[in-house]
Amino acid sequence: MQIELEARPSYGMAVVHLDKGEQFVAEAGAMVAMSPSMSADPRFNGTGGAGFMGKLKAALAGLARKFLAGESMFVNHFEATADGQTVMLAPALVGDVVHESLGGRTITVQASSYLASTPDVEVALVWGGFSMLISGEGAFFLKCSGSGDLLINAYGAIEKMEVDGSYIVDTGHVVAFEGDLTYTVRKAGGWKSAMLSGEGLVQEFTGTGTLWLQTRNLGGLVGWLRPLLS
Amino acid sequence: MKHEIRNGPDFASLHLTLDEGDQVVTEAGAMMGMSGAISLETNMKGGLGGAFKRALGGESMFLNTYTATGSGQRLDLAPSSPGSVVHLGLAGNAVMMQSGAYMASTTGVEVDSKWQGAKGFFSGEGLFLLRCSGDGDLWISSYGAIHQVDVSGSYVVDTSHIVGFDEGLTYSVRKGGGMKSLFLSGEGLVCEFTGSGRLWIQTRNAPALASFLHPFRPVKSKN
Amino acid sequence: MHIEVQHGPAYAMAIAHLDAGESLVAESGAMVSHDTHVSMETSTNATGKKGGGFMKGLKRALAGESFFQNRFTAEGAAGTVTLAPVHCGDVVVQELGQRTLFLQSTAFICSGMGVEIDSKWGGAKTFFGGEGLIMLKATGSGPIAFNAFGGIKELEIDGSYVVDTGHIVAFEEGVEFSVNKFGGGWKSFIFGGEGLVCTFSGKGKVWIQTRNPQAFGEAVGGKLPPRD
Repeated sequence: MQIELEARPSYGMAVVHLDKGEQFVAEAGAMVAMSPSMSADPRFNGTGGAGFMGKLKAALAGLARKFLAGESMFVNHFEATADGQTVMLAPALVGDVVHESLGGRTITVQASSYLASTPDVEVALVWGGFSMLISGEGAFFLKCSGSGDLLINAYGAIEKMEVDGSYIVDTGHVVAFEGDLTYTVRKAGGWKSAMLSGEGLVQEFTGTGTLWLQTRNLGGLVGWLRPLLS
Repeated sequence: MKHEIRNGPDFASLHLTLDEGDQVVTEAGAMMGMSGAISLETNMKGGLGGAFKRALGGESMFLNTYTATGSGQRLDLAPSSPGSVVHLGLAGNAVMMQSGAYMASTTGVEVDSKWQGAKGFFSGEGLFLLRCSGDGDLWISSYGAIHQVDVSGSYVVDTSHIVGFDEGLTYSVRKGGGMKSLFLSGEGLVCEFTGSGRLWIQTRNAPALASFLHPFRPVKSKN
Repeated sequence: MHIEVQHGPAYAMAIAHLDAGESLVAESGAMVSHDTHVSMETSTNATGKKGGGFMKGLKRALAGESFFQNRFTAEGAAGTVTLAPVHCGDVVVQELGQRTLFLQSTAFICSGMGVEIDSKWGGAKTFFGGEGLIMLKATGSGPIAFNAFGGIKELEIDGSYVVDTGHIVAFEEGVEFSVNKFGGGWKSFIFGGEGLVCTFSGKGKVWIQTRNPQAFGEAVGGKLPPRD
């Protein structure tokens, strides 16, 4: 299997080359183009294992993702029926796509930033805490772990930074984080700023690890468009 | 203070490293990330009168002032629209800009809305002109890439593509291509610039995006 | 005349350089700026070819393009016109020699006077769902500029390849296309999130875009305040 990223950094698209029997899992709707004999099987978005209970767990996890995290209920399992087949994947929003080889690491990804992964990556829905819910940016993250490949997308460009100590981020700009980073949600400045600054609540990350940020946020786009709408 | 624009022209972001006491004023919502020790204050800049004028200019009434409490503190900013960020150094001169293009400035820059009156610069869509003058750094943002035109003589631009221009240029707004064209050509208003000076145009226009998205909006439920 | 593209691939803009007396046909609403001595005229049939007029304008409107087109002419001296599409993304310029190109409706930006633009119906099956694949047919000679939502990728088809219909920008005549449900079955069609796909076969070029306007519209539009 080989993954190439094209049209970076603004309209990133992944071109995945698969040999016979190799599989790739992508969120529903991500397919741009593919070899005609590539098989595509829609499944519930949730790792639940085989058997009836497994399927039920998967179905419930898919529902939870749909209604709580806004992610699609379904994913497509692509499998090559012969060597040298390709599938091209892209997200709905404009922005960059990055590829991380997990190699045993765990990366926590904002729900809307997950694009695709190999089937050996375990993807678990994680509750971010009530304060994240209040912040309005989405209270769910996807914890991705294992030894496979993960594709992450962003709205805007991706700024990757190393945190060592503490760093404050506007919640709408968080794409993913890893390492021993923990966060608390707090007000930006005092109460007056929290209400009027346009920042609302922010996340303060402490610890050591990598943080991926996106240089645009959907809330900002909505605010910018509002005066132009009838 | 050090400043760097990265990720341009597509989704440009502004990265500042501040020395103790440095202050930066930004539009509401521009902060992407910052060192924990930076202090944030939100005010109606210029008192009530200034804020009111700015509200007419389409900018939010509130501006944020970030102050560094020590050296080497970091402030990362991003605008709301997809596109570029450009740095302009002001040294006693003035630039006019479309409201919405203002992103950040240092405290020596004065931001004022210039009332157009009947001359409706931007097809009366809640967009007006802001005038920035003084001494310091100014950062403006655009929807799309920024294309600089050095006007010498005259040049015509569709008003929804104007980001800003040097104060010395004279401008006159008219319907694009005559009466028939106002309704038929899709161009709306155009502005003819004459004289000598810099003109910044953006390669995308926001009203076109708003029209494209309109059918995707949720529909109000009727009772 | 010659058309150059600047500020690609993210917010590409086409700059058309016209010789004195030369004209350009452009999609209504695409103009960003122009030299003062370049005149603009609006009509239903800017190429001035016989048999156009109201019906041609109507066909274009039904194809998703504007009913009217603008004709820009450099009066008395060489001049420039800059043009941009609605969507963020790249712009491609192709010289039509003896070739015919099919363009996705809304992708057309501008072309020289020697290029004939006609809407061609893709057939009843292409009006399925929200992604009517309505194609414009471009023939003749001269330059033509078209845009994509996102980046443009040129595929050389030799055999067959499947493309999600929302990602098609243009293709050369000589490449056959057939529109089907994704995955070939109803389960995939409903749950796969892809809707319709197009299988291209034969030999020739296909241009695809790396973003899908429908998906983007839904993702952002859904968060905007409700409309009447």
